[in-house]
Amino acid sequence: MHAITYLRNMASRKKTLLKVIILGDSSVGKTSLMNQYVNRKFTNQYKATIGADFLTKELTVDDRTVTMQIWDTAGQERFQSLGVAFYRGADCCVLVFDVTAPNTFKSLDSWRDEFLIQASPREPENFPFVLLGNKVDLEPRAISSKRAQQWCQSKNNIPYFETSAKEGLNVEQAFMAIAKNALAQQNSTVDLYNEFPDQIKLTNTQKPSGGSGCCQ
Amino acid sequence: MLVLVLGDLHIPHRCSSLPAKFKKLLVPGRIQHILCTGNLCTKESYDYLKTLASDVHVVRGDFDDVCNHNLNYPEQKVVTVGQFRIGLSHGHQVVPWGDPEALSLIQRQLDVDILISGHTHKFEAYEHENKFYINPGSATGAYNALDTSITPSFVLMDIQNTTVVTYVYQLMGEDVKVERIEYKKI
Amino acid sequence: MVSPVEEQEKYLHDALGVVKAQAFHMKRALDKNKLMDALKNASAMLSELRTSLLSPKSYYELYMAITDELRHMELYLVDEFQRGRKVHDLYELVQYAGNIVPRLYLLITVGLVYIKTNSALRRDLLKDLVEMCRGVQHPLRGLFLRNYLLQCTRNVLPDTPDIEGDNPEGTVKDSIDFVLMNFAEMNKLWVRMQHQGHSRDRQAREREREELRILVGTNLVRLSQLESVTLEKYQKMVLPGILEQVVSCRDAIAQEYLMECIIQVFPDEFHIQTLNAFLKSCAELESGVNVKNIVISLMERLAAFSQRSDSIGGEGTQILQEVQLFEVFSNQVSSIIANRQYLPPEDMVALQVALVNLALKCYPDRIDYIDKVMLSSVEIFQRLGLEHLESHTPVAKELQKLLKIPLDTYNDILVILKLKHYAGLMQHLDYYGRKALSIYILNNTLENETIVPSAEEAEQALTLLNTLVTDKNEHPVGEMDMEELMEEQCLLARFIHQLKSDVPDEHYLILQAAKKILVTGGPLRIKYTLPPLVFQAYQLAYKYRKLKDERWEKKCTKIFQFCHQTITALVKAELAELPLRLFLQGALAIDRIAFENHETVAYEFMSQAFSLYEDEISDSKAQLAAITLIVGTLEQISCFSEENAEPLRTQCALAASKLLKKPDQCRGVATCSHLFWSGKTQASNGEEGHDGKRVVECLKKGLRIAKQCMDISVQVQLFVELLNHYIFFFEKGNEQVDVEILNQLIKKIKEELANLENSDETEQITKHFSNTLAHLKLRMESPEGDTPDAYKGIKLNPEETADETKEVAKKVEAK
Repeated sequence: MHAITYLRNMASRKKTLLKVIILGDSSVGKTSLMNQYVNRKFTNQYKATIGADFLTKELTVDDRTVTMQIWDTAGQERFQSLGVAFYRGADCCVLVFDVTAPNTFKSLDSWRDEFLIQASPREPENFPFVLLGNKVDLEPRAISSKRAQQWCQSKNNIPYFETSAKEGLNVEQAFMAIAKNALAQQNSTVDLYNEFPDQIKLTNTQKPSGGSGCCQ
Repeated sequence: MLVLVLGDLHIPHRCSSLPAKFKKLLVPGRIQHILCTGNLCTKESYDYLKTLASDVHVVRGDFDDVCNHNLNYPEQKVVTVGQFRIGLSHGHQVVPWGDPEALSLIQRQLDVDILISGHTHKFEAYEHENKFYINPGSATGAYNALDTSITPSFVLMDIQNTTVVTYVYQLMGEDVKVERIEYKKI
Repeated sequence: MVSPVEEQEKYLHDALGVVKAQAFHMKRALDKNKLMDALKNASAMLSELRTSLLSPKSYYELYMAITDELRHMELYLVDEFQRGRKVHDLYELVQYAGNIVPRLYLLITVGLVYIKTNSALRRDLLKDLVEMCRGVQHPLRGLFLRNYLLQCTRNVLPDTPDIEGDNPEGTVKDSIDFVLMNFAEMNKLWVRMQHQGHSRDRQAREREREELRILVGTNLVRLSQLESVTLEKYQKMVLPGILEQVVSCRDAIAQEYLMECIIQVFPDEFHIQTLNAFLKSCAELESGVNVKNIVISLMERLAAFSQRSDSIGGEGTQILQEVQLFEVFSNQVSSIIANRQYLPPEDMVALQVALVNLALKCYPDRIDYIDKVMLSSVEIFQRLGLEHLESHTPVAKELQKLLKIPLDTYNDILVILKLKHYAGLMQHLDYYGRKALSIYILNNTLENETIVPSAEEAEQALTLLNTLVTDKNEHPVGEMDMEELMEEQCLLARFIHQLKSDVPDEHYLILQAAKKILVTGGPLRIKYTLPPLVFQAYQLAYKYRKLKDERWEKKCTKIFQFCHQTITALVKAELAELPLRLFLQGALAIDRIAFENHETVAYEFMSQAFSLYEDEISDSKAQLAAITLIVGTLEQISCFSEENAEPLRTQCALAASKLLKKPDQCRGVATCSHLFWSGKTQASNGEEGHDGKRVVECLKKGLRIAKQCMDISVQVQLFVELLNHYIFFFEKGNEQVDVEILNQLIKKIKEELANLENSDETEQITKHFSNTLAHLKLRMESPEGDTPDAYKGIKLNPEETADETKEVAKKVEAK
């Protein structure tokens, strides 16, 4: 079977794996959003995340079963000592800020830039981002939805959702949009995957590994 | 053209600082010239004025030069702003203090359109024989032995062609009140 | 030459190429349901993880790429199993994979699928997997393998409370055991890295370890994610298990990181209840561990928690009250300081800083807590024998920080004064440090406009600020920077105005107390610090006059005695111009306040000013300035009887005529003329004196002096000035000044002006003169007041009637 034909088939396989990365400053509620979405649970307790960790959730998008792998990441740089290799292969990037903390909104640009540099997607300008303004249940509000929307418009119309992980507000809707955007991204990139035939030649050229024995 | 007129701060002899409300109003970059009637008393106060505008003119008050002999302000000064000749004198040298006729002697000597003087810590602005006289009062509301109810005040002059619009800012209790007086040169 | 970075990139690129190709075939095999082929491809892909060529970061990238692909295998298997496909021997089958690294990765993947499809195997399989991972003892490979185990099992760890009897699905206790064991193994691998390889590579090795630390920390994250880990479980199983491993591994890097990790990943509610256990372990850590950072990190976290729960009113507030957070930390910090020999003093102080921050955030109204920290800090310094800490040292900087916190929080110098041990602690700074802090305190007080309302507090404040107040310091020898001194003293002088009370008697006590301390400052300082006291006192006297209480006149007398003494202190410091002005200001106030016997007191103040003028001021410019001011002041004073007023006026006129330079003399006597016109006395019942004759005498004397000037230009200038004085009195209605005098002067000036050479000065004089004539003309054309005819006969153009005016001039001369 020709590789490209095969890949087209793969794209239409009944089960699809989507990789989604959640980014944002520490304590904006990244873990809480993921927990609310996947487990429908929320706690007021604050626990920092170290490195990156994912949960999976199966959902149906337009009659297709999709497994969404949601990567929750550490907002504090010191807990990212191995770098951000997990950005690679992402199908969608979710940016989160706290609507009551202006600094977390100001950091969005650097999170987005950092993602685009490290993940280096094929078409950076078309890569899907979704912005979540979390903690709308809290007062006083520092960032208006208008301001957030303006930012989204300036970034090639990023979809924007105002959420409350605590009250489960808009969380389901937001992740559905994330899944759709991720899916659209995957469909478009698979078709572009035309360098594969070259790689096939490498199949049998096993490179010797560094270790020799088994119990190194 | 905005000209800030103020004086008789008497910091630190009689007051600890300019009223906070005034400091908030006086922002750098808006004012082109500062005319000070004296009694800045310290270099610190002069340096503060310098932060508001680079063109600062000061004459000697009776308490300048007493602690710090390096200040060396002149007794009187004439500054030309636009079409106006403006005379500046602290006023303690003019006896009787604050007397309009006595002040007009200085106006004639300096040959000015506007004479600015201080010392009484009392704001005044009036026309006399077609000339304009301004006393900006004391910007800190400093104590004066001759008047126990001093209101902190300063003056902003907006000079356009042959017209001076004078705004006096007075701190009445907690509020800053502004009044406007216009003078036209004939 | 290929650089190490390029080399890494190449190795990684090659490995990723293999992964990409093998993954491609694996997925194709899965699509075709050829599981054995797929497993073979997966194994080949996983073999790349056997490399020893990659740095931790590159290895992590490779690991990510491979595990991403492995997920497809997992999805396929779960799918197949759920559809009822029985592959019982799969677990056995993958065990035959050639190499242990790919084998264990595959085992974990398959094991996970088993657990997902048959939860009855869960407990035993978890145990099995975590044991089997022991097979890889290479630190880097082992750490990542176990990280994969941790990642895969995230969703399947049993998270139900303990129950009686055997439960093959497992309970939270099994999860805790599983993670703790994995944690212990990973920590051992991580610590072992430290002892491998050559000692010269230590730095590079430690950097690699720092990079890998998050893998170890993830175990703690996993424990914190278990919902069935209640406070009780945390206290009894989780925390002791972690701490035991941390303490026993005896590795500084691991200990420092893991303690920090515990703080960050577990919730505040747990920390609050386990403070003692945690802090006790801190004291047992290796000497190379920065215990300060750990303890501070915990304090900061709990302080933030306290503020957060205050704002949402959660149960946290109550817990904080029950747990004596401050006491616990305070005790533990003391024991850490006492037991850790190598703790540098700046770290000890930094711990105190954190304690104060904690106290301020959790218990903002407990000032006694702050005082307690100040005291224990004093004790630390005493024990260490540290005094006069040099400003630039780290410990002095920490101490500055400690001392600034209460001020920054309360913005109130009065709170500082309430702290019993603040001043004592401040003494441990050196002279420069204390001075810098004093300036900081002053600026804070001025910015916040804090009032110091009692004599006691004023005294305390000035004592606290003694580096600025007195010259009796251990001030280092050498040149004093006068500009710096001036700035500091101006700041202090501004502060003096904050020492005041609404109660006049108390205010007086404040002034007395302040003076007592401030006079010790020596000549360089008192010229800045005493004038504010004098002006405050004058204002206080006015206040008494307004109140008019029973003894107000006596009190005013006392106040002016106080002022007299204070000004005299300045005279003794060999100052003249300043005390002269303060005496004149006093005379004005005394005149207006008019208490019993005030004339005598006012006369004393005036005569003090005079003697300063006569004895101490020699500079001609200063003399003119002083006499002008004396005259201006005297003109305002109305309390003198004729016996006192007359000699004062005469003295003024005499002094003016004795000035050094002729023009000064001329101007001086002209100024004096006003004393005889608008000056008021008791005799005139407060009305203006209007002694026209004496006025004209002064002005004539002025004319005579002017004529003595050698410089004609100056002479004419003085004539014009005198003409203006004549006009002033003419218009005020002094009958001694008549039209003839004016005409004569005008003519004289005209004649002289014609002889002057063209110059800027001449032009100025001409302008002055023509302005004067213009004034007269204006008055003649529209005379004001009640003497419309008075201006008749004034000749603005004297040339026309030269003869006539000569006649007048002769007459004037004769008068």
